[in-house]
Amino acid sequence: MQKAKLTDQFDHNRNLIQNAVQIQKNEDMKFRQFSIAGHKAAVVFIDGMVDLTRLQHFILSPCMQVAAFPENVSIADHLSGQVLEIASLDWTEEMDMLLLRICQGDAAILCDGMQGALIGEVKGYARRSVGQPVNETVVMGPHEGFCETMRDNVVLIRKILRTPALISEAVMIGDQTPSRVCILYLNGVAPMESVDEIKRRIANCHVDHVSSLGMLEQLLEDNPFSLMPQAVTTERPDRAASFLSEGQVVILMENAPTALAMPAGLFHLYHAPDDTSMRWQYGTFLRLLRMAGMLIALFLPAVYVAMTVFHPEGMSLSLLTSVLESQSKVPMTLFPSMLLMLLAFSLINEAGARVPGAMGASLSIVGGIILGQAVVEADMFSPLLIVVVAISGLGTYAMPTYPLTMAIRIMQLMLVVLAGLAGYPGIIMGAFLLLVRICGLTSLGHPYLSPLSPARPANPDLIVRLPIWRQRLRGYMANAFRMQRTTGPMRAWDKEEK
Amino acid sequence: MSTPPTRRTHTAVHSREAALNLRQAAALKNQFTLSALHLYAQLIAGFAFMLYRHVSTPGYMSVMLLFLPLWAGYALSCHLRRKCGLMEKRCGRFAKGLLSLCLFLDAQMSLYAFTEIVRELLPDYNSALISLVSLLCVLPSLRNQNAHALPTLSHFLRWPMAVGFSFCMLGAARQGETGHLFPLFGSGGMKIFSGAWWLCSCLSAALTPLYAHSSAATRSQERKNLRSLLLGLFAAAATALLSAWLIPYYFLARPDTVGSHLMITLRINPSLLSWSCQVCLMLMLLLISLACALSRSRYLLSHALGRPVSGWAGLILVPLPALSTDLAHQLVTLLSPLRTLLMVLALLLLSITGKNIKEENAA
Repeated sequence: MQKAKLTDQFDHNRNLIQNAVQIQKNEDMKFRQFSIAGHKAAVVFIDGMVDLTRLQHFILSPCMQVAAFPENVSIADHLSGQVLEIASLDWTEEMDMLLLRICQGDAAILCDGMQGALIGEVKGYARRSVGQPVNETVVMGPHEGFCETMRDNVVLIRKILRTPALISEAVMIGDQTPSRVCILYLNGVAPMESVDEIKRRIANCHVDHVSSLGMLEQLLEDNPFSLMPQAVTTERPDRAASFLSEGQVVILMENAPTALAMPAGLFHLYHAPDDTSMRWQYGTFLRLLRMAGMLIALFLPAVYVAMTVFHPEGMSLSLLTSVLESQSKVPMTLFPSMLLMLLAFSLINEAGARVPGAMGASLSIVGGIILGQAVVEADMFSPLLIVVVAISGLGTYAMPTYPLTMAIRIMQLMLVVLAGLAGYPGIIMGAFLLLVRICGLTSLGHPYLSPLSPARPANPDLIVRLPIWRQRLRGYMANAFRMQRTTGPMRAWDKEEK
Repeated sequence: MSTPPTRRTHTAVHSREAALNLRQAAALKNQFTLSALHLYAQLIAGFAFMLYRHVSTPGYMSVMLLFLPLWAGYALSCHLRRKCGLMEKRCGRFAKGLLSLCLFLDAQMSLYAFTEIVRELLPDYNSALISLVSLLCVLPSLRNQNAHALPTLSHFLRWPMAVGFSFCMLGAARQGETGHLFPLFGSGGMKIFSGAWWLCSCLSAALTPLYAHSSAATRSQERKNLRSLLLGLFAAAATALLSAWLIPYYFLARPDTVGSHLMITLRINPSLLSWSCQVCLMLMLLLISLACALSRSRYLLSHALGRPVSGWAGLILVPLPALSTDLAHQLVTLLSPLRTLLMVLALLLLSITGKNIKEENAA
């Protein structure tokens, strides 16, 4: 179907636009008609989405003061060069583009004799200011977080990476209601293959509307049936900047207070934002703690079920006695008890996430006292089981990213079911399946467990974090020609390092 | 009628990654083939006699010593074949087919061992069910999409397994139970020498799946640093544990079951963590070896046939462990010499004619 185009006939353009935006029904769609040097003209905008003061002072007033158009210069050139006092001004002849820009909060200027429209950026809709990240709090490091305005988010990143090498390319996604997506990368550092691949994938997503970044992530990821997330989401501009300097590509989207970094591996999910801000000893300690938490969260409930139900011979007599004593008064067997407790724990988590802030304290009382104390006193669950569930729950909380927490929680349930069915062999089979699946994963074509396996050149910054001056490489996903962060010693003043 | 578009997740624009993957795949193929050769060259003698019920420990040792010249001859042929050029293609394919069959039989053995251990742990479960479930667990790793998953897994697990095995070994060593850990070692210089020889051969065998993923360049680099030493230690630990549990069972043909050997380790390492570690690592090791054997077998078979082979062919592995214990024992006893025969034939073909698999794969 041929796309509608604007002509130099004002009346034709007016009818075209008024029909397209259904101006009779849309009460906030404004078509303000006036005249410029005797020519019929109009400004089209959506009330509430534009800054009316800027519109009036820098578009309407200057236009109305034009006495005549010069003969040798076109109307559009004269308006953009001599009259309109706004910084960002575009030209379009496409009807689709015109409507899209109007819907984005810009104002379109039409004039009789002008074969197209000028679009001035006078956005002025209500928006949240830059605040603290809610889900990625850090002890050390900046406290700025992304907001819902994409332009502000780009600025937040640019504020950190003040280099012209930082490229932000805008693309649209969504067939019927397009959304603006911004692809950011460091030119020369990020391999163009990654950038091209992301563009290719976005261009080949055919969906009416993409409402969130999470939806976009699901449309872009390599293995949609995998439990593990294949991209990192962050609310922190400093973390996004860190991904960019490592050679990854960051995707921002309008109305999304997060950024998406691709490609990503398991270690990107395992690292916390303030690992790098801390001294390397503290960072290493915290990472090891986190690793222990992850393993405990995954395996402790399953191992407890397997040991108690299937392999009591592996336990020492004192431990076995203690377990059996605690379990003896409970009417349910251990396996369903464990499943119920884990589900109850997940329920408390979910309720905690949804409950209004003021009721959070009540929820923790309900969760802590009723589920913790009352069920033990009522002999519904053994105290040891609750201790196991609580410790594994703490392990899941130690994960720095929410998607990883969710993945671990689901895997934990799967392993408990397998342990309840077949003890240690069940756990091992489940772990083998999960590991094979994770080992086979890719993110944007990059192996998920790299640089550990397959081995790639990398900094000593995977499971432990060695001193910053030993980290002389960018991420393995960076451009091969720009892998070195520095050519000389990082601590040039230090004779020993020289 | 137009063909449906293929799903494209690994993009062609990934020139650097694609090149790396290609190189890695080539190295991987070489490694698969070569490590298969290596592995079976080392273990061939052992498996020939491992299930022969009347072989006693001294007898086994003497057999191992008899095979020493064979290893030397094999090493010599490895050296010479580089100078001999390519072998006739058809002959090479035939040898690969034989190797593939051997690997397939080895997968049977691994599955059998896994089933036996699980049966010991879960006596209420049917062995047919156990075999079927373990196969279903392994077969996804053979899918084409997971071509790199298995070597990645073995590469990834080397450290956790090394730590786990070392932990168990230390526990046992503290108890002074070296006799259980190294049952092949005995008193007398010759016994120690033959046991050490066997251990060294197993060490290289244990290393092969771990090194399968690394490219030649990475490997040579790795040798220079501490990692290779630790890896060697891990291999030694893994081999020692294998020798403690599985190998005595097979090689010495004692009337004990594998499960009873697990109980020995329970007596050695009474701590909860140690026992759990041992059991779980052992089961994981067997699953990996089963998957590796199947994967290598399929790869060699596809080379031998000149076309890709479906991974689901592994389902025919089900019958053996599903059979009654006595019948399975007898069948394994029969299969073992058969495999040895096939392996000897394949090795002879490859060694005598100077086959250079690396060059063929590169071509």
